[in-house]
Amino acid sequence: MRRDFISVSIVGVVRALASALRRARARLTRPGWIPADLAGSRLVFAEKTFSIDLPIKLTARVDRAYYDGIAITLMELKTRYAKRVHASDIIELSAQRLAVQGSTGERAYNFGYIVLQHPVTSRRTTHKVSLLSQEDVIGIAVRRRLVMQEALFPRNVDDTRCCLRCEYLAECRNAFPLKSGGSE
Amino acid sequence: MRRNQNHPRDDLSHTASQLAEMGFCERKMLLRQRYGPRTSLSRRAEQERGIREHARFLTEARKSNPRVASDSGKNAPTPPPTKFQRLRRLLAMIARLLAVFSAGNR
Repeated sequence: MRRDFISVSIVGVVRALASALRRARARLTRPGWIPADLAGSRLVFAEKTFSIDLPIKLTARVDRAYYDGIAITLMELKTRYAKRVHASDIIELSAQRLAVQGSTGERAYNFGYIVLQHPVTSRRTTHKVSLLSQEDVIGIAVRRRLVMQEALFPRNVDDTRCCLRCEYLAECRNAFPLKSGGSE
Repeated sequence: MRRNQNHPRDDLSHTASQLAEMGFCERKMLLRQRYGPRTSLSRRAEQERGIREHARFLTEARKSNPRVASDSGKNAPTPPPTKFQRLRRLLAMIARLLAVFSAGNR
């Protein structure tokens, strides 16, 4: 009985040491831009497309998804000069969350990571963002449909620099004169 | 507002990228539907750079976990050609040109 207790204890200690070594090795080999929160997570999806029909018809391509045994964490890569997360990034990641949850049946966290990569230096910075709720994403989809049906007046971007770069600048100025404003 | 009868009026399907456009400029989205897609040279360069970087991101993911689930086939992003592959293509093209040139001189 004493021998059994000793052998079981030795096995337990060895397993605990092996697990600690695995975690330590993962921390050492993990690239610096990957958040520490994901150290114990497993990369399960990369460049994978998910489609759902309910509650909306939605197709989303996920750059990366990590699973920690409880829920999925989504990650999106963006290549841009400015280290700034845009509202469009959050909408895209939120839509991906809706598609992944609906397609896999697994829960996805209500936060995600946007990885911003500099186009020249390739340096990556990671930003944790809160995602929109399912209702918000559905509301955006409904609004998009109404705008495309021309049942709603479309909003414009409130940035002159973006307008000057736009391929539809001439058509936009004709269709939406400045005096008509930017809201519905 | 003028309506374009050639485009579908009930757009029920969405992609995550299309929904993301709603956070940028709704007018551009509507004008693209009216007048068709347009891509400036700078925008095309940005898109090609994004495709290359996403392919590299995928390659890194596969190194991290070779069994990671991803799309395969024609929709999968392909990694950019290596220097060796580009050199091999260039040499093959030169060999073809020389073959055509020598055949023409006979």
